[in-house]
Amino acid sequence: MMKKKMTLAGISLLASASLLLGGCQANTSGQDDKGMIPHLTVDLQIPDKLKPGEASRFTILVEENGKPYDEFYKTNFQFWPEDGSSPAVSAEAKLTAPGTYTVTQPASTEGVYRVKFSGVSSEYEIMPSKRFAIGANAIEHLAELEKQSDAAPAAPAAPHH
Amino acid sequence: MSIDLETTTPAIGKQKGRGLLPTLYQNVWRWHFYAGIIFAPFLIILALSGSVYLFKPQIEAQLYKDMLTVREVGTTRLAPDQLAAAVRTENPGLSILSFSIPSDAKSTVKMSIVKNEVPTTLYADPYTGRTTGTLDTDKTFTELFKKLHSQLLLSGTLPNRIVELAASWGVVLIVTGLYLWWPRGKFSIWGTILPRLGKRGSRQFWRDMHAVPAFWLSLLILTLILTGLPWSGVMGKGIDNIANSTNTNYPENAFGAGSLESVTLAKDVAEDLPWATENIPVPASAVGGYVRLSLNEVAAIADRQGVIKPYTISMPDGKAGVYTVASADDRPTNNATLHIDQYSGAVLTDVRFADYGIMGKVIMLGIAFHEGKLFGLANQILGLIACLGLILISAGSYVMWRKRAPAGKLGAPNKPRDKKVTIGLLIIMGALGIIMPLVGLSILVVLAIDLLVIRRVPALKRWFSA
Repeated sequence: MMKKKMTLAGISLLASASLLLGGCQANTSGQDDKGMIPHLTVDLQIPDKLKPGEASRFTILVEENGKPYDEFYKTNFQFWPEDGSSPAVSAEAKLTAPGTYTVTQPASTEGVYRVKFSGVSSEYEIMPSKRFAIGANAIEHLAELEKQSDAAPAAPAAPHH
Repeated sequence: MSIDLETTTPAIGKQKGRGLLPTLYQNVWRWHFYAGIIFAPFLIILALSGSVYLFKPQIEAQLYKDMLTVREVGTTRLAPDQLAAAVRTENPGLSILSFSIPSDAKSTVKMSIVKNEVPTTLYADPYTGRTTGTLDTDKTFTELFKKLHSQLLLSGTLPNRIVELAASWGVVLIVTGLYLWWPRGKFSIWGTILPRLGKRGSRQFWRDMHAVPAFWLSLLILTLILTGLPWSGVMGKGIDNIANSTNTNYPENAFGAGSLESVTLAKDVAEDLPWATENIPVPASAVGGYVRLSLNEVAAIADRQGVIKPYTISMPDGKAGVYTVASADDRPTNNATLHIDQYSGAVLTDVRFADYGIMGKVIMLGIAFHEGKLFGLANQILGLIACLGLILISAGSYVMWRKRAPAGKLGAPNKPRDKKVTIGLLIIMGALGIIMPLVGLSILVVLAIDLLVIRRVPALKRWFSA
């Protein structure tokens, strides 16, 4: 009887110690195998060939830990010329497949442009952007810009309306 | 040599003669004496430099007032990108490594920059965009005292180890000192908790000026030493290892950068990090032809994530680098370390004070207390009292020693004959040496010198009372 009581007491003590130690430990809940908290990964796709005046389809695939994510309550694409010569144009992104948001936007005149996707959910916020070129001269200019941006600091934000 | 214990310690006279306690007392006194003789000068240096560095905010605010404070608080602040652009225009060829967002409307904005391949710190007025000055933060007035405090103004590893050794022996001095102070026989307030100031300049006067303040300040000084040890090279690393192996430091999966693709640590790429997150591995941004986020966007993310100002944004290191937002605010509870994908804005890691384990939390609170930042001016004053007290205690001990030491001898307490007590105490000291490795190492060195040199040279043996 005494032995049983001692065993029970020992188990209780160990359990309490584990609970106490657990409360003292660092919070690692929700981290993946690389130590990162859950986050979104994106693939912003720009049409290969863009011609002035023609409508083009811009798509972004959003994943959370490898699975499509479509919990955003606010999504939009913004377009503006890289030189900031005119204000940004905003278009609402449509969910066309799980984790896939698209917008069809008529291409403007020749030049280098920026497209930026903004997605906001209760858990996440993402804002990836890419440059794209319309016209042969603009493609060369874009290549130059990409070279420069390798060494450049922060990129300028979208111009205000 | 005869030692008048009665004058030095109240009521100890009753313990004269043979016996366990007087022998133990004599042994402890010898350890306290030698440790004090060797390390008191270092403790005075640490206390002096610490007392100045405690008031760094006030001192620097006065010394560099024109640089750190705006002339006039304007109505609107320039956004980070606009301010960075203004600074680049004013200082061509400059690249910004980090950008700090202040909490005080009167503060200028601090940026770590590289200009002509020389790293320095630049301050700019966020209302006018004007550069208010550059400062080599390694050469400021208070940095001089910090270097004195941490490495005795010398470079290399050895000075830092000497400081750690002195601080560790400071712990031994407090423990042995409390044992010596402990009232024996009939208790008297005078000489125990209140100093006997009647016979000014006497040995008794200086004994009380040493022992009584040391008793009152022992807990405070011990706390300051222990909270400083996480910075030390040997014990600090040990503390970090214990915290990591028990998962009580900061959240990190598998507790080793080796398990991650990246072995870059936060302290290698970011500034103003809290101590607890200096060694967290840095994740990588997903590269894919994207444009890097602007400073404005990163600051907006930090604000929306509830990072409390002041915080520092460190720029990504290369194409796969991340933005690091770090808040090492005076209040540790505001600590935050976020790694943000430089292209998508995704928050990859987010470590706050609440995420730290118990050791991480205690160490962070301890560091803030050590630096006088935990509870404002009262904390600074408490630190100052401890520093000034330590100087008085150390200086008092020297006067006391010089008054007692006979001509031609060191004046060390005689070595007791009871070897059992001596060995028993040595085991206790050995245990302390395991906890504080440099103490252990120094004990071994002292034992070797005692055995191989002092005991074989009669003159030295007499001089050391060995």
